[in-house]
Amino acid sequence: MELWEMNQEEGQPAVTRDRRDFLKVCTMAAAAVGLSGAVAEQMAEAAAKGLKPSVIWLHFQECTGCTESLLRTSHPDLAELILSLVSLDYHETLFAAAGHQAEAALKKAMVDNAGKYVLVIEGAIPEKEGGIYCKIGGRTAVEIVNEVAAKAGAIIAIGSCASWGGIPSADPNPTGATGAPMILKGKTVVTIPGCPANPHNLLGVVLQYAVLGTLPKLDDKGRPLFAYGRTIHEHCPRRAHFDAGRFVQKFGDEAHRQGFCLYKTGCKGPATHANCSTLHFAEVIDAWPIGIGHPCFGCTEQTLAFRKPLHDTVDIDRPTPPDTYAPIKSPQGNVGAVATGTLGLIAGALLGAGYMASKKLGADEEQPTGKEK
Amino acid sequence: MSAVHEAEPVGGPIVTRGFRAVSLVLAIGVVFMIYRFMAGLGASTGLSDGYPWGIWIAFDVVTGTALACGGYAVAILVYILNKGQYHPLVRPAILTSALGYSLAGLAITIDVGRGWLLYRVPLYANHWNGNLWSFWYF
Amino acid sequence: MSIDRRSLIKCGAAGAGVAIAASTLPALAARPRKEAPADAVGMLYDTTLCIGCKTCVVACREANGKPPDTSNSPGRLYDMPLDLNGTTKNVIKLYKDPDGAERSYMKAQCMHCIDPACVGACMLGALQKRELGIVTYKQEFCSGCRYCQMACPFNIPKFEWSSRAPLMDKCEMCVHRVVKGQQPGCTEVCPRKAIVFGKRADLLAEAKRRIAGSPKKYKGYRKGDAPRVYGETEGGGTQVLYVSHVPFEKLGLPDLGDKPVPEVAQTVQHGIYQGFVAPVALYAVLGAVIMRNKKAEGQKGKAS
Repeated sequence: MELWEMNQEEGQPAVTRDRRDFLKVCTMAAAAVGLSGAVAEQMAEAAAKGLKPSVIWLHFQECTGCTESLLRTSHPDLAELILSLVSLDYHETLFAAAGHQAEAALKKAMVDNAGKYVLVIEGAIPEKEGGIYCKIGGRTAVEIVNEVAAKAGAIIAIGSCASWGGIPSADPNPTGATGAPMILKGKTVVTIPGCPANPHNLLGVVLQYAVLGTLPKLDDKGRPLFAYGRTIHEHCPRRAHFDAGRFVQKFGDEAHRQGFCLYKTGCKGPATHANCSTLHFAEVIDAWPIGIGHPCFGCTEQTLAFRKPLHDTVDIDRPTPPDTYAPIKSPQGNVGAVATGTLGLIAGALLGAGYMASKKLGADEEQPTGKEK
Repeated sequence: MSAVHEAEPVGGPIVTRGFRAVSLVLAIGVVFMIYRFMAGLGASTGLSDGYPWGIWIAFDVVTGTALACGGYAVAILVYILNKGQYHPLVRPAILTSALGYSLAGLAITIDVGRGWLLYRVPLYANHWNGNLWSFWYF
Repeated sequence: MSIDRRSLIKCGAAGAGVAIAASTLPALAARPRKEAPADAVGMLYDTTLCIGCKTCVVACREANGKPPDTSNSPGRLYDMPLDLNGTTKNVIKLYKDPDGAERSYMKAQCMHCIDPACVGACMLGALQKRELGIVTYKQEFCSGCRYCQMACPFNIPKFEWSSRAPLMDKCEMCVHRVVKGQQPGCTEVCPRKAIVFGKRADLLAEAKRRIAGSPKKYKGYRKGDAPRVYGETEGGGTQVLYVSHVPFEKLGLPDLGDKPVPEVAQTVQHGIYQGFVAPVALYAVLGAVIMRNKKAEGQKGKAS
């Protein structure tokens, strides 16, 4: 039974919309994730025909932060999303159903939409000791994810935990937690890392799959290039301060109040690929770490988040010129003290040798030896 | 008068104090030579784009070449201008020249960036190049 | 034996003959001035347009596959070469007079001389004027002798000082792109067209047109000189041209005059070795002296 029907049957105020309103929502959703207005129209038509994409959302080792940030997105808001744009058929946090009823809904969705549904995985999957550290309904996470993924049309790993293991996989990783791509080897898993992941990046992938039946271009780590193609540093609002060499030295200092660059306080922006700097969270302006004066901690990068200490600086991925210039005449360099000394010694030795030789020659001339004839 | 001077052995030990001192200098040189092929010319010689040639070039030209060309000078004096009384100087002068030019040539293969390509000089030379002739001169 | 007066005079005369021959030969072989090839390409840099954004520096690295040079920046944060170097073919410099009243950017790169000193100095011919008059570098012919560094009046070729098998590095006007019909990296990205690429003749005309249009804005070599195009005749002419709103000497461009830099040296060198006459003559004289001495000794032996 779908949420939509449940609402109507139970006599609650049904979410009813005319086509115009609905098109608005679709346009908003498409625009939020960078798809064109034409896509919005296709989306509206598909939804009108009841062809909304079925979404199955699985939770494993996580904090539900990714779901929480999805709940707080307003363009479109959650109600519009799950009632109008997608058919959210299984989601443990948002489900009204519980227990066997919930399990039955999962089974039904998998059968009804076999090969078409979108599987969203949130949370890391523990592998150690047969995967006993995360069980739902008596089955391990590894079993569940393998079963659901087998018939999925598209697989999306949301959040850093699902992408490679995230916090649960941090040293010493007692549960052997790992990400969905590592469990589902050989399948295309779109990873949307982030802690939490920006919900717009998920929407972009889901809507593109729903409307066009395709997945966006991915990088070598399965991240969609439209969101993870550039580093934070490339689009950072504080970049001008970096180029000019104006840095926050410690939290709360004058430079910090001025909003200068946070690189020296450990900002991982120069090595972190994500679109946080251009697409802020939940449409709140500056709702992202650097926006509120904290260095980026590299949550979308497996090598940085939960691995590199928070306030350690990173190497710059692609160094670019600063806001300063080379002088017209560059310093020629130094003639070292050693070189000068060596030259002096040699010159002195030569002079001495020459003097001695001339003296000897003179002496020879005065006392000619018998050899010469 | 005779232009021929009979060679005779100098005698005495080869490993003298002077020999040891010069060997030490040579050993230091070998260490730096190895370092040059590990870290590059900049680190081992202190040369830079500001000073692409070091004092050794000046030293080599002013002193090394002057010393080594004694062979030519004495040879011209004795064999061409026929000054037989200087014949005793021919052997040491030629020896100094041979050593001087060979060592300078060897040193150049280390000083240039890719000494192992110098064999191409006679094959593909830029024929009107003065520096080529200075190479021949060496 | 002793040299008598007669033989000394003879000997001296022969020597003088050689000396005269050697000194007149260069005059006979006077080296003709070189002209830019008909299809010569070039670049025109206008300091009045440059805003110092350094896009060209980054584009140059990308076009030539050169890594950023972070060695001079504290913490290795920036691509910050202090001058051209073994990985930097193009750099934007800043001139600021002490009062701060006058300032200008300056794009340092190879000038692509019409008669380049580096080409003359290169032992193996690694540096040559090849397609379109561009001074290009073939690394397989480079022994790393750094003669080009000593020869270049603009101080352009740079050496890879930290490499085990070092090479030279200098701007080749992105010849690999130009032959494919593309522009060099720097001119392609310049947002204000402060550096433009084209046929040298067209660029020279354009530079003169700009100067004629605003003769007060542009300057000459020194303060007070009439405005001119640097590179039109300097050092025999260059294919990269500059027009500037500050005197060229402030931008670090050398005062070369009209004479090609390698002219004197090459005239002498080529003269001495012209047809190998001088060396042969020298050896002939030496041979003659030997013969004479032998004869003299033989006569002496007979006499005694």
